Amino acid sequence: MSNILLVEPDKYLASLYAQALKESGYEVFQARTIERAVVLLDTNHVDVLILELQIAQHNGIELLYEMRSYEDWNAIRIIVQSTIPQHTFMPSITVKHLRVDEYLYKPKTSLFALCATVQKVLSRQHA
Amino acid sequence: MAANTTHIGQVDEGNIRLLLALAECMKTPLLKASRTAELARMTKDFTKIEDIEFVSDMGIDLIESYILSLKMQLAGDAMPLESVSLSATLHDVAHTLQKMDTSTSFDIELHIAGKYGPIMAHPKGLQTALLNIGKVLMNTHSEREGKERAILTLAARRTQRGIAAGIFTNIDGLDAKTFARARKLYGSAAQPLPQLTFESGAGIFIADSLLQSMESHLRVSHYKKLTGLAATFLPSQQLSLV
Repeated sequence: MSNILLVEPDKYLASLYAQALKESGYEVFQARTIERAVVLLDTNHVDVLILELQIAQHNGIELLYEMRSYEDWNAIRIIVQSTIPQHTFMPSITVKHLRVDEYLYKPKTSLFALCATVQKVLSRQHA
Repeated sequence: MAANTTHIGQVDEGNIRLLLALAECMKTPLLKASRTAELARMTKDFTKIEDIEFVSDMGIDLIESYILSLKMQLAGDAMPLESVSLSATLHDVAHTLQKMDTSTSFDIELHIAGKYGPIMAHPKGLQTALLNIGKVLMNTHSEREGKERAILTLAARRTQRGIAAGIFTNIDGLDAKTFARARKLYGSAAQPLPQLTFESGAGIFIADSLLQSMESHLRVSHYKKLTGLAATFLPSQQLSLV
């Protein structure tokens, strides 16, 4: 079973995403803040990180930079799922630099599409 | 046509920014309703329909608040301020917020120290402004992961300039400087209050607009050890004679 870390500041949305991912057979850890995400990354094996960039206090970009500067977390696949469209917030060069596997625009991403994207990035990992 | 042209001419930059903040904020309840419906279909669990009603109503309330703020601006000097009981309004707002707290994770308290006569305000505008502030502060708590119990205190007190009323809570990240910057950023920044919330905080700026129409001004304030947003109102002189 693959482990997913879901970093989603909205409690209600987090519960929906977590339930859909669990239905698809994944183990899901949840964090609403970057601090909590770091603790969970430190204490658990994580295969895929699903990250909202827009978070109170510390934004998701800070976590991405931290993850990519820390060797132990380099193998983790990253899916950014944000209410901010990619072109207005994170140019493709940054996506490449931070090795973001997929960037999803949250309002246009169904639960089905999210689960399918997780499956897609995991299959790349195992390829 | 002439009247319409005048109204469009009155829509200033502030209103456009307010509309942008609202539009940004409306993504959340619509997204929640849509994904809840999808999950209900996926899991065949139709008890979630109640959740769709709840989040949709939250979105509708925000739109209604925005419409009221525009109407009050358009009415300008023609909008009558009335004698309003602050105690009764705060009581109603506290009751509504309590009903919204479905997880019962908040200690919602009402502190109305001393006796106040009525204040001059727009009754619906005042209630809507306070409700919006309360909702944003409640959401802010749900984004945190601390074990500290969330406090929401609705308070009124007499000041040199009149009677101040506001909503206060036990979170960090809100101060006068942050709020002044947020006033400049809302509409153009996705997160004008990044220390407070991940959202656009449209509710706060709609409340600000509503209060400005009532010749009041929203500001960061402190009550006991809590921080929050408050506004000062003039006492209603005529009824104090009754």
